[in-house]
Amino acid sequence: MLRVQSGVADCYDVLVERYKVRLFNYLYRLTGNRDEAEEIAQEAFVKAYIHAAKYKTIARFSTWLYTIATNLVRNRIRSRSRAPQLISLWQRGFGDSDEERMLDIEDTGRTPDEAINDAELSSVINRAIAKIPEKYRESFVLREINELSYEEIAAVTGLKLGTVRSRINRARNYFRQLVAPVVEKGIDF
Amino acid sequence: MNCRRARNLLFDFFDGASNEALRAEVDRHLGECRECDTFASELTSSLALLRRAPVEPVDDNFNWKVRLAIHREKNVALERAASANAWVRAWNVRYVLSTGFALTAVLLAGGMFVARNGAVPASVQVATQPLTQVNKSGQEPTSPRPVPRSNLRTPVRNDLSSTVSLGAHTGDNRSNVPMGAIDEARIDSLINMEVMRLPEHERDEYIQRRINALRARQSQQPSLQH
Repeated sequence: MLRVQSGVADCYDVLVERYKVRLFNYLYRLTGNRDEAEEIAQEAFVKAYIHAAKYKTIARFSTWLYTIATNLVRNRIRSRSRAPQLISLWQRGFGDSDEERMLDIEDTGRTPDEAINDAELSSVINRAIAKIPEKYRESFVLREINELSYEEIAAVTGLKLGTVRSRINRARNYFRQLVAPVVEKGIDF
Repeated sequence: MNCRRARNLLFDFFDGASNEALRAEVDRHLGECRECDTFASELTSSLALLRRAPVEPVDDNFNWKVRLAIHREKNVALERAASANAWVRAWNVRYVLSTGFALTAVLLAGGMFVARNGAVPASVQVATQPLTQVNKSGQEPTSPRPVPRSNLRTPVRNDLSSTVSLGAHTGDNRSNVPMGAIDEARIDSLINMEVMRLPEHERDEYIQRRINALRARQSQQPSLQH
């Protein structure tokens, strides 16, 4: 990042390559929407590049990147809450539960069984995370998906360490309650 | 150990905290408390499930998309900067023009005012003139000028020539009164200077005498009035 700051723009590709998967997965789990996650990830990388001069070496680049991305998600949620989205009845249909919806499974080179299992697991996780209250979600995903330390999460979210800890534990409790029925059924992912 | 404490410690153990004594204590509690035991097993399995979550692949063109977005953002920033510079330049030109116009207008207005009202405003003229008596209508003073003390020493019962010569001596040529008319200014002067010294019962007679004498004098020597 220091090289990018000093004007070597090509080095930014290395940073994008290194962090794109982690950032995308964080955003995907947070938003539950692949397209939106990709869009926000791109926006975060662009912002990080444009405002490279503001980056200070006291924080890791990943922490700074997660902070930018988290703020972008917050802004989107805020603007969405101001203008509620309309839900199409035709798209979901009467009586259709989320479980019955078709899942788009992309070709990842794995066997069909593996792909279905991964897609189902991913779907279960996404749906559970989506039901966790918003304010606990960020810290939870950063901890459980991206495996950031509590200190890093505090830096990203701007919360106190104790608040981060309690929010993560609350989110874990929510997640446990949401996923427990699936686990009880003994579904083998 | 109560349930709350045991559950909080369970979270800490998930985060990698290692305290054997506390762990043994929590295990003992789980053995005794069925609810906490269920809680622990559900938490373990759910978080294990989460950690098995597949890593979602990113679009192959992601890097290119980022590059393209950066390129666009740079262009937008450049355009913004260019438009901002253009605006600043335009504003500077406007500022210079408007300031020049305002100054010209002020100078023109000042010039026109001076041309109409003379070189120096009237107020300035009044301020620079020596102090003189000016009545309310702005005309020349009508009251007599101060009389030298030496004249006041003249005996009160003086003849008319002293009064007439008084005006001539002081250069008082203001009285353009017609022939035979009474110069009020001179009468005032008489009253002020001499009559007031007489006893009251002599004043009227004295004044009348002086007026008559003045009339006679004026009729005889009209040239003295000029």
